[in-house]
Amino acid sequence: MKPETIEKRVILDMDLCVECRSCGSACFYGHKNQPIINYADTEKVKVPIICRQCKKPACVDSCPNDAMYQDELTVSKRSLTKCTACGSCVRGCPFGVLTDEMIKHAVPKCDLCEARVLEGKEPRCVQTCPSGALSFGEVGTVEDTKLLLLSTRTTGHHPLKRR
Amino acid sequence: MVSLKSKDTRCSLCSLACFLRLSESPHGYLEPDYRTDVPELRRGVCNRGNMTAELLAHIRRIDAAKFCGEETRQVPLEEAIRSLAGTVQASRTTLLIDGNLPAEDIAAALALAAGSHGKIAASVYLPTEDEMVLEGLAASRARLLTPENLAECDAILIVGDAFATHPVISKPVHALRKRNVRTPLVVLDSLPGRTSIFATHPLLVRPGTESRVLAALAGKSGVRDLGVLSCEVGRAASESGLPEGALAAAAAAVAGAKKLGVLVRAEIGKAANWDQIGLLSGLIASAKAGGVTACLTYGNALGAYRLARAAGARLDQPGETVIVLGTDVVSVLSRQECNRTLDGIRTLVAAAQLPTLTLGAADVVLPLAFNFEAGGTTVTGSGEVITVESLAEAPGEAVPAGELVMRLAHAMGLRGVERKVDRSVLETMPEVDVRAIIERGHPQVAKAPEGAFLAVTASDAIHFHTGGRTSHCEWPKYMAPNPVATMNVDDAGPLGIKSGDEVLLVSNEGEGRATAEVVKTQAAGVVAVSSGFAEMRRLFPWNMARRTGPVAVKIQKAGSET
Repeated sequence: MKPETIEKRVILDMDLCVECRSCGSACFYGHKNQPIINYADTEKVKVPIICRQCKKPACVDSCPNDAMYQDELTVSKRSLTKCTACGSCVRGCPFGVLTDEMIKHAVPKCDLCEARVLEGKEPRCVQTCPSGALSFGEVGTVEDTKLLLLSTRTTGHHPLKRR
Repeated sequence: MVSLKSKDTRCSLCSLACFLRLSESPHGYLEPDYRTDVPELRRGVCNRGNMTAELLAHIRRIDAAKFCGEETRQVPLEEAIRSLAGTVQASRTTLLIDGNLPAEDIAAALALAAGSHGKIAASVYLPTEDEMVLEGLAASRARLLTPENLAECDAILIVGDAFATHPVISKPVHALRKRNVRTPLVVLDSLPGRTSIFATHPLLVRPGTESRVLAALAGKSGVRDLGVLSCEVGRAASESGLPEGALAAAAAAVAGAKKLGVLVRAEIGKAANWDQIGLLSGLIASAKAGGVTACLTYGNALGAYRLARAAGARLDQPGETVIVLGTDVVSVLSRQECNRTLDGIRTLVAAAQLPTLTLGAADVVLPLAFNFEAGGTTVTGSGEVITVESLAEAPGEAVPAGELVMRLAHAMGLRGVERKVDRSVLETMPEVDVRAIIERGHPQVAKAPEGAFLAVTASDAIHFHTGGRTSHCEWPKYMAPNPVATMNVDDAGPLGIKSGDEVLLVSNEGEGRATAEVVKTQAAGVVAVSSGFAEMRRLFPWNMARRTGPVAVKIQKAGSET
């Protein structure tokens, strides 16, 4: 049975991330060579920046062409045909997830691998993760793991220091 | 369109042989999928494994034989083989077999050489670092550990940046530390890589001094009879640039282990003596009732090593005709070495799956199947002898290397060459003389002259090397299009180099350009260059004579050459 909404999100445990960028390669290939996952270089660590799928997404609010939209399962997505790559969503996203590097005249955007999730699988980035740093779960469950939660999606005992 | 015969296989792109699944998307293309029916520690695929689907369906696949001269001419494979048989019978021939091919293919090529009455000499190519570390491990007689075995240890010693090149091996280490957060993790490396940031005892040493530190750890762990390799903690600390207290603490952590797991990731541009490092790692592991997992570049390195040693295969002087099965020799050897080698060759025959630098120099090109298509037996870095299922038919006339060899043998009138392997050879480590490895002693500590830097190779999770198969994929081209030279901010400042600048690096062996990355964490006087690019490998004495290790380089901002 199709769920009413997809409540699960991609959660990153920085205690386990080895910065291999396998999540990026799986996502890139699965989304026809679009660089949807970016990496923030803090010199100490390269943090994968994965869309949070906000409940009230600024990328959707800022899009002048209705190319960014929230579907019936509350997943924020981008319509390839409507996107004019104006970059409004890139500037609207408060987390720096979207990149202004235009690929095929559109802004690459995470769709939470919705088709896979509806088949009962996990998003590509989570299933490929070789170190077990990425998981697919409900955000509320993070509190049970005794990990620190950093700006809602990144966790770890000490997210920027791993020894 | 590739039609799948099977969905599940094992990745052959490195020695971990991760479980892999491919699926056909409704839109008609292949895509990687992920197995959830395997143990948790074996799940996940690194970025190279994710490229399997793209490789199988790659538009540049070589699917027919070609004669390359002034005009390139496509010919039926049978015609190419008949012509090759005539050439081989009329000249001295060397058969260079890639050690990453399935064991059956290597065995067939070795059988052809053995049955050719001296006309053909066979050699198995392995990356020097893989071959040397295996030689050391064989000499140590250490037990090889699976990921499950590793997760049962109570302390881990890692040599090199294993998490960068073999990310899946981080899982058992994480599992172990999840069970006990105080589990000692000693990481010995000459660069602050992706593994050392997890260490409880990070030992960041001067390039090329790893064996001294391991000898000190071995001494404290109760390993005796090391002869001239013996090294006290104080001397090892002073020669490797480590604080004595830090090394003593790491030695105590290793000595205190009841079962020690050791991971070794060899890199040719970091040390010159990976056989000694392999030996010492194995001896420490055995002394602490543990074992070793070798993180090797080649997926079937251990199988190829065992087959080659059992057959006594070596490369002496190349013959007038050289048949290269799968290896991109021009990319993996330094330019000088290649020119020297290629000068003496009258006919170069190269079999490959995708275009390589070697194919550009070849007189005859033969189409080769990927391991995923050929299927066959492989030995992982944990010593597991596994069968890799054939996923799909190879395109056009592409066939497994063993099949090419069998057809050549048939055309030459030789009998008894088959694509079969003796499994007992794959399960047995060869006898290696420990004394010969020990008696060489530690290499001299590499030093750069005034005004120069010491260059070492940095592990790269994206590329294995320029001519490699994955370099034809879109992700590496997007993510890591150029080599990177990482240097310390205090070294870069006086040279006017900033992050993002193009720099020229010159060594006695060659020169290359890279994008500068200026950081505070890099040791002063040391520059780390991407190991995955041929232009960076040219800086090193990268050849079959095993002259390896860090080299002195001069660096300047590109465009400021005088």
